[in-house]
Amino acid sequence: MELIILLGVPLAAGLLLALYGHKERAAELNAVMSFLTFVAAAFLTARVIRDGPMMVWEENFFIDSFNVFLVALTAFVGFTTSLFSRPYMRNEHHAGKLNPARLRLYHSMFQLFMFTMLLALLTNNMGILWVAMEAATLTTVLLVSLYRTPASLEAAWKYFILCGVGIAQALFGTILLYFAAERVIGGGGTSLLWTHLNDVKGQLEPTVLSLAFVFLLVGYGTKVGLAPLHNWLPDAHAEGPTPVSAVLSGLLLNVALYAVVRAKVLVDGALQTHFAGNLMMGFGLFSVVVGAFFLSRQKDVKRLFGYSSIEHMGIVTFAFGMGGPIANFAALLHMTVHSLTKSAIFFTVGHAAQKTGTQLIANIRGLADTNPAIGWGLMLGSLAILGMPPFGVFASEFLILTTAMHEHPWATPFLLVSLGVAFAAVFSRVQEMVFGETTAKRLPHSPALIPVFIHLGLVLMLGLYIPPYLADWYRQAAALIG
Amino acid sequence: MSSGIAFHPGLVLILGALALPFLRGIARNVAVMLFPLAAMLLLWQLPESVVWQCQWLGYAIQPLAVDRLSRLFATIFILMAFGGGVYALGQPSRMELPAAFAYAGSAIGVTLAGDLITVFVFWEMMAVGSTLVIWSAGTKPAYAASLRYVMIHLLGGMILFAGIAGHLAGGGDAAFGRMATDSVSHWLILIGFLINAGAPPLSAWLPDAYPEASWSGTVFLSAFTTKAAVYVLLRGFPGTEVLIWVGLFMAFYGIVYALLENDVRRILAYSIVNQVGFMVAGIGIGTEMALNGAAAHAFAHIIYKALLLMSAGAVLHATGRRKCSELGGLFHSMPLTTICGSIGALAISAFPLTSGFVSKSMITQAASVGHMLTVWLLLGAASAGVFLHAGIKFPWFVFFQKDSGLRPADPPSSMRWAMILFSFLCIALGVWPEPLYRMLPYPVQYEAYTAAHVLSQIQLLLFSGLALFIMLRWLQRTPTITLDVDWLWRVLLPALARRIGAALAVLQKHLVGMGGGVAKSVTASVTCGRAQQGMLVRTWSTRGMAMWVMVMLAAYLVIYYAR
Repeated sequence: MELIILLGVPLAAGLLLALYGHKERAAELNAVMSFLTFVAAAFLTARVIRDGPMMVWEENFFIDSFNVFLVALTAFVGFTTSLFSRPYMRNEHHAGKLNPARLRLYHSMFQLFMFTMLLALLTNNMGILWVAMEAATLTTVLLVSLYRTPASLEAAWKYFILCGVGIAQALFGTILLYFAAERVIGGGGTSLLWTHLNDVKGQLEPTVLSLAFVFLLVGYGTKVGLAPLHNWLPDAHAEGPTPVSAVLSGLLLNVALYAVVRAKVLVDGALQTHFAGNLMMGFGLFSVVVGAFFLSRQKDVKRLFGYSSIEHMGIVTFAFGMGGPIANFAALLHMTVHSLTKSAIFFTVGHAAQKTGTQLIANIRGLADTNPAIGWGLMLGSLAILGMPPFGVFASEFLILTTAMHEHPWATPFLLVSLGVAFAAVFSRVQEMVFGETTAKRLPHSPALIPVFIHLGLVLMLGLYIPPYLADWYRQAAALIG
Repeated sequence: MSSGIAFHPGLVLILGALALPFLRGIARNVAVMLFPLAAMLLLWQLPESVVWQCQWLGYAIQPLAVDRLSRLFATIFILMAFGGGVYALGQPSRMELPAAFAYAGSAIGVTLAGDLITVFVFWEMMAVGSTLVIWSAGTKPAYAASLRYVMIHLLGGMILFAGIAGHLAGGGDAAFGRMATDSVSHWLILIGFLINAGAPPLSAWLPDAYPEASWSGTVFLSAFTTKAAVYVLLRGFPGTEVLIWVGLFMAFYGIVYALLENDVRRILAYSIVNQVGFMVAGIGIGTEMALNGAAAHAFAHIIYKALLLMSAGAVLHATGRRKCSELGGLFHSMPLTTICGSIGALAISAFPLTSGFVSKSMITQAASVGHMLTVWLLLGAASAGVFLHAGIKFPWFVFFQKDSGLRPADPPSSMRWAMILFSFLCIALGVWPEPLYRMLPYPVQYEAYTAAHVLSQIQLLLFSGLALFIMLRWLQRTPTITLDVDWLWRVLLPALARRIGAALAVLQKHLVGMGGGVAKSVTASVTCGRAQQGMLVRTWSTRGMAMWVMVMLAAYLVIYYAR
């Protein structure tokens, strides 16, 4: 029941908003629909916590503690983003950057994007997972190119091509998976169901599976933003409207990583080696290093935080690659806090950029004077994302680093140096933006900053105290991933 | 949680810092004084045990644990927050006091932490709080200095983090106790602590950043970071021999640079390095008397150094100048500031009947009791140096010397009261040291006022004073800045970067000159057929393409489920 609402609401809302057009209350409708999705996700979560993993509709949907946590996170950040986007898009409209037709497209695509992500998370079928990921790419291509400026079109194009290439690799990986499964389970639609594959993972042909994993990792890894396949990410983040940057960074990257981790579970079972983990550690570490060093050369504030997302997804991938209960726990925690913090940062950055009319760091100055809430939100958000205690990112990075030091000591210098470089790069830029002289004027629609402080409050709480049910839930999911 | 009200005194100040920006006028002034008083009451109510303990990510941590040593440091930190808060009441920057309170609260958090993880958490918050204090000066040099400051602290934090993580990964438990320098991670922890203590070669952040804060900000900065480092060294590494030599080096290093320096507040900043050197040396000696001495000296030093910086801040506030060569003769119109500054100068030189005497002589005495003749001699020489740079040079050049013609009035009443309070404490502790001695971590069997101590100290002071007035001609300062190790990154690195950049540019020019012709023909052949509307150049509508692929995928979905 919850599942139908959860998937039905965004789908229906997407169509409804497309038909309804940009009228007086479209933004409110968008927010209400996102809220309904969030409520459904909350009920579904409560049920999974109570009853354990469940299958719905002839095994087509499979919900366990791993994906239900991502579903809850996705629905929550989607809801707060819709709250944020209401005044943000009005300001853009006011500034003449968007016309009603574009706004209609935006609202409709936003909801469809939520739908595709939720579908990708909930489905039990590796094939449908691929389809949903592809559809998520397409909706975001339309969202990234919303402004129709040359730069945004180029970004959307790059995004489309690179992710298209990636997704083609993932398709090949999925086909290989089917090829391996067919010998054991037999043909037909059920042989791509993850639960079935999971049951027989020990009998799957190891060579084929290792090949399949390489393709899946490269394919979905493109969407995670793993270096060297990350080129699209900063462009897409910088050129799209800010609510889209927030959900791209906060949600889409997580969903893509989710797909990789699901595949990893199968491959680990078939190979009985650390092959998949090693690959993920390698890619993850490389992304951390690349992300950190690119950070130090950025001039555009949204690109800056785009690179920071690459760095953090690298950390999460590295942690999943290490495996084991603690590292997986830390990776899940890091996913959560990164989503919350990064979307909060994009909310503040979006309003700051609107206020000053530019995304160039050099031209954004004195936020603490003109709008203390935005300035301090950005400052606190940046401190949180840089791993300052007592925020939650510190907790997860702490766990990841201690585990790495224990199991793979060679990797820790890379991680530490990258974190240091990232800190130096981001902190000095944020300082200039928050303090300093400015002549910016007020915005016509006052910004929605409640989501920012809700997110940062949650991140702070997760740093100090992880509620027992949440910790249990992470632990179950971590055990599941193995 | 045993007693009735067991709340963390540091958190009182941190929460107060969050509340302060929303208060105005008298309510704010009352709050500034009330929060430290409340914290002090809470602190002295806490029993001497682990008060809070919990699990954090599987580690047993103790966010609030009290013993004699931590209570001593927490007391002086709260006292400092109170005095500094009163002094800064008239500060127009609205960010500085909240930042300073958060900074003080984190420093108290470090002293009351029972485990390494909590130490690290508050350690980093302290770095952020102090950076905000420097920023709130709002000047360009302050921003630049604060960035250098934060980078060094970031480095220190990372080293400390690596050390703590290594300690935990190596099977150690989180509790913060005495550590031996027997493994890489413990060395890393020691280095992390020492960077915050201002130990060379990475001490340049201190005289670089502290003087750039506002007239009231420097007062706060002087107290917490370095003394929190002294505290963690006292707790973690007492009796580590290398600390004796590090401490002595710091003591002399501070003296040399303070004598060369022209900027009043940089002199006092170098003098922090010098004084912390005494404490670190005491920790290195490691006997009970030496550790008591280090703790007592930290307590006394916070008060008199704050007093000195308050008087320097009052001068800066009134005249806007901070160079020795531009000041002088201020005693005519700033009598109270002159008196208070001189009391601070006497205290730092350890004149009998001031707080410096009763604490510093404990460290030297510990060296002589422990038969460390070299250490004892060097400590004596360093004491003479302190008198030269801080005891005479500072008041002489600022308040007396030639008349600069400036006639500013004494500062407003809030600043006056803060200075009077701290002057009173300097003298009171010197005359009546028993309350301080009773708070020290170990039982005190030490009598400061023996004839021998007093006589030798007075001899030392007289001779060095004589030396100073003979050499006064050479001490006249010229208006320069003195760079020390920060020369490496403020001068050498940029110059190197420029040289290398220029060399690369020349190289590039030659290469382009050689390969230019070839490259041109290659690019021409590649772009041929891709002119403005060429097949590969035209912008294809991503929209149409995306729409079609989406339709196909939707169809696939429908087919799959409707089967």
